[in-house]
Amino acid sequence: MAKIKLPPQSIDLLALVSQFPGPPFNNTKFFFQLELREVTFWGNLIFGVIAYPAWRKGNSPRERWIIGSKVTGSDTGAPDIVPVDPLGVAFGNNEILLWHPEKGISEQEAQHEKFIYLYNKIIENKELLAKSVLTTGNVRLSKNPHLYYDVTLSSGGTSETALTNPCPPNQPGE
Amino acid sequence: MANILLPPHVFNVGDFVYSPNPQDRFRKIIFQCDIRVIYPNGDIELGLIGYPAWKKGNAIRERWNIGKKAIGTKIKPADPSNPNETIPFNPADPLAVGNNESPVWQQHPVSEIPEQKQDKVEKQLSNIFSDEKKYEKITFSMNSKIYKENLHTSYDVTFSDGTTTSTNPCPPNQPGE
Repeated sequence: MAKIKLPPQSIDLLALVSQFPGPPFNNTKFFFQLELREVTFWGNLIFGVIAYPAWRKGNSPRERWIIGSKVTGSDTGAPDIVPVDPLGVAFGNNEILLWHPEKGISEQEAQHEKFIYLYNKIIENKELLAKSVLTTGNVRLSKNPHLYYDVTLSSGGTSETALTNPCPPNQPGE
Repeated sequence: MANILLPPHVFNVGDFVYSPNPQDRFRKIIFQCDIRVIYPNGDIELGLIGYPAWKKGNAIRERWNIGKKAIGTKIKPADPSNPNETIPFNPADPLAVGNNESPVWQQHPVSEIPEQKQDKVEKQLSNIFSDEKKYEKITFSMNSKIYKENLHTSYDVTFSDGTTTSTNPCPPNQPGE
């Protein structure tokens, strides 16, 4: 049986954050999508992750989302293998909010809060930002089935992990 | 070399169940690709699923609600001579798979369609999705159209009453609200 494989990815945080028009940094998020990078002889599908920064004009929740340029993730290790028949697996947007979400958005809210706390600390410090990296890993499959995964923010020996929100089927985080 | 196959699909409008509250406006359909077949030669056939989405009331600030998944039915195999339906796999220019959306109520997505024409299409779609008799009978077909600048799939949508529109792949495009 063919398999879906997603190697852990490293994404340049500075390349994403530097596209935001400037502080305040409320009403921002990252979109993640998969791209098909390799089809092996055995029919295995190897994907990579791409990311887009998104922000609202004037930092207003009434304004529409503006999408920045794509930042491509690079492989950093052996792939996670999704242990199911790939038939029927759907691919859509995954997102991570970069401000404090409304209650009930994420099943991992406390973890997400820690992620945002570290993110805010990093973006206030240019040196720290330049050394920071996002990594994706620990791929899982939702019931529907859709792929989702952890995104870990690492900087100066500290790291926090948030879970991406596949939407649909989930409600977008705004 | 393996190909990515994007055959045309059809949906029943009645499969998209929105909030029963008629005051819940700002409706759209969000489409995604799913893997339907992996052929022995490595070709991968992608299908289409769609989710109805709406906002509570008439407030832009409200969050999107997502309804149940509707599954598209393949109309015919992907045409091997159509570069929008049969895409040779190219590791140097990989195909990204994300959301495509199509507004069916008053919204103004960023698209290649001129604003006036888009307004007209939105009114037609609004009629289709608001009229109970039409709603149950009408179908729409979707033909892939490759967004070449930043390789993504998008789709031309043709309703059985002749109304046509296009989906908006976002990202890379701006979502329609």
